[in-house]
Amino acid sequence: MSTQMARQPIEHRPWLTLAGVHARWVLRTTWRNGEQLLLVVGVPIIALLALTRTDLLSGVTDPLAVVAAMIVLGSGFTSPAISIAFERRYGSYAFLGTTPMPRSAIIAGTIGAIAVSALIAAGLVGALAPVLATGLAPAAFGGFIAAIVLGLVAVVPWAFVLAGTARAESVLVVANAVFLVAIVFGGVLIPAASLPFGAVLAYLPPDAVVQVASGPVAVPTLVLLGWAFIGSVLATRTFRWR
Amino acid sequence: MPEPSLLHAAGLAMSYPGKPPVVALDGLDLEVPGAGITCLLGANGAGKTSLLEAASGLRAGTSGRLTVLGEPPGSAANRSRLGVMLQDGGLPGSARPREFLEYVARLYPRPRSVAEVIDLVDIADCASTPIRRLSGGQARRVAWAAAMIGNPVAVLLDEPTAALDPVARSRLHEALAAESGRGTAMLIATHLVEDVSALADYVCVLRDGRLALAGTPEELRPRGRIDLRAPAHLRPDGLLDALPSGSTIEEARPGHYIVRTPQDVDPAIVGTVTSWCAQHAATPDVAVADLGAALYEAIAGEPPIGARGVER
Repeated sequence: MSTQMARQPIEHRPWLTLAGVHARWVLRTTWRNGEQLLLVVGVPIIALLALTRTDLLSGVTDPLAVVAAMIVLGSGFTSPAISIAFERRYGSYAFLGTTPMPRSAIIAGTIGAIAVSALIAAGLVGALAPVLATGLAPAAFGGFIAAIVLGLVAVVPWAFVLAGTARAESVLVVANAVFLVAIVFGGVLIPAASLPFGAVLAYLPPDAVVQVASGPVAVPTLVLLGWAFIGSVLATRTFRWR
Repeated sequence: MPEPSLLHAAGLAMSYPGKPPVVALDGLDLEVPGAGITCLLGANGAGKTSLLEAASGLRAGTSGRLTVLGEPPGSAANRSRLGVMLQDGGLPGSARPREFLEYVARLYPRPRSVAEVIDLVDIADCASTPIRRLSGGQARRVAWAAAMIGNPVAVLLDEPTAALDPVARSRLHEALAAESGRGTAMLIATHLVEDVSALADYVCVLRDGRLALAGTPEELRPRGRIDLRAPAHLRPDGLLDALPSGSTIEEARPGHYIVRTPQDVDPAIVGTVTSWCAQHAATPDVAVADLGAALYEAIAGEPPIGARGVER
């Protein structure tokens, strides 16, 4: 016993390796779960089809902006909030706290997995969009990617805020409700201008993502960075591992 | 060089916020040996889980000192060489045991083989079933596998045998004994005296957040004591005269007598007590106090309610 302890020098796997191990684990469990997959890629692709091939939503002028907001909210908020909340409920973060996995590598790995999921969704949409909608300007894709990146930066901390404070069952309800309300009444499917309180919506992430994707970017970018800042401060103060 | 202890607590206190705060550990002094199997007993709320969580680095004490393998709890070195099985398992419900163990193995510099551990804990038949659909016994075995996969020098196990049927429990006892045979030091929190008789090289009992009793099972086994149940308020003079000189009889509570003899109880003494008891009670209930009775007293802070003490 004592000889075994003395003989084994204490070794560690590098931080980046551990973050990568966790990112792969999150991706594996996310992409196998039907509901998560529907949120991450299903809804954005169905929306792209509906917006480009039907007249159901004729008020929308920029289909890519709508899909960008859906990818941001699905991959960056609702899906991770639900899975993080259930990891907390199961106590698996507590267990990981007893292993060599640092807390920071769990957070980095989770964020990395969110980014990869969102990029895969964006890549699928980017590949399908030119086929479905003729006449999309190549510049639209620049706005599309910028909107997704900035949108993720803004909403991912809020996924941690919600998942890190509420019970898993409440998170399931609230995260899905936020997704629906944001898409319908947040200035995404119905343009903010045709909604009451449209002016207020410009200061919320969904409409700001749509604006970054389709128009002048300065103000909505600041709005998104502001949400990112407040969310990060709140997340670091309130997140509970179990 | 002396072997480092698995756990050393000095004046360790811990309380949970509330009005008033809930005291979990109240100045605990405890030394757990760095080899063999130590069983940690105590009633619900005695502080077992709080101590194990503090030792795992999951909770901090409010005052006092705690070291684990000679290091502060939760140190990077300890996280690499200490395996932990939490009371609620801490297993992700949607994951499958095999993939989860593969994931956990990747966190350690020198893990054990996942296939070998799956065989060892006998979960091959459910290795691809989502963890939330496993039986209680299967889930405990997966948690045990996760504690071992990193090839630890020591493990902390919080109620590994809880909710196991007797067959599953004795199989886990065998597995734990085999692991101890490989040189892994173990601290096992449990409610079951059965775990102590099957496994323990050393026993600690917590009561109200303090150490109530500690020693090897041999040291703790009561000597020269018989517990008997008979009608209340008997005059035991006749019995006392028949026993070796220096013996005492105490009625611990109405109808429960504790006979103490200066030497170890032998069959002749048991015979004397039984025949005296038979004169007064239709069904004599006479029990030579064993380790279970001693542990019960330490856990409860009072003698067992029945002469036979703890249910076994």
